[in-house]
Amino acid sequence: MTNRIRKMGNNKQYQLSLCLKVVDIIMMCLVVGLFGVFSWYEKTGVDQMADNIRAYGYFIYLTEALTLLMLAIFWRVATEIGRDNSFSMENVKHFRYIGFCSGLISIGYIIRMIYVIVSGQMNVFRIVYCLMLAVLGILVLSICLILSCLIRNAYLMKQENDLTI
Amino acid sequence: MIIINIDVMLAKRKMKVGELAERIGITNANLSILKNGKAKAIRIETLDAICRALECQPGDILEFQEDEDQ
Repeated sequence: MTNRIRKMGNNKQYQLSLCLKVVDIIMMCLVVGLFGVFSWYEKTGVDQMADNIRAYGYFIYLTEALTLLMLAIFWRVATEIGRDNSFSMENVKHFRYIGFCSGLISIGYIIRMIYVIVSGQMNVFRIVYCLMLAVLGILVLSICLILSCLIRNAYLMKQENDLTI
Repeated sequence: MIIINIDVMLAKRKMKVGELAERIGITNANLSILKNGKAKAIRIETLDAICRALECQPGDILEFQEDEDQ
């Protein structure tokens, strides 16, 4: 058992996987903390900021849920990397799913922004918040789809290399 | 497609698969992949090692067959 742990400790892929998982846990805690603060402020706040947060209602919880889902999928990517299986079809799908979650968040906030403008509830905070999250979501979507494509190509090249005797 | 006919030469040289794998420096699994036609490519050095071990020419073990699909 000790030898196995020692071997795993020496394995660079395993070390990288551990680092990614630690980062993932920190991000999850930050996300839960941030939305926890939003929820608390929504219930107890009395100023304009609290009104703005209240206006988003369940949107914020939906964003939080999708973000946590993305981080949970990223955990699985880190697990695959730890198994020395970075270039695999599972990781191709995982990055695609992360991208789609991000895309959903973007679409949601774009629709929300259009609604805010059309309904006359225009407010600098609301517009900037929606725009910022929409842009961030599209950025994450693009990066994840590119990564998915790259990993797929790497997987096919690895397959061919493994079958070159 | 290209078929690698190692069995015939192995029988002629009275050599076992495991012995050939050891001589050419590849695993039994990889040699099986070669024999079963699942290999995507073969390195020149591997072909060189096979011919050297089996004392034959590349033409003795490589054969071209038309694909049924085509």
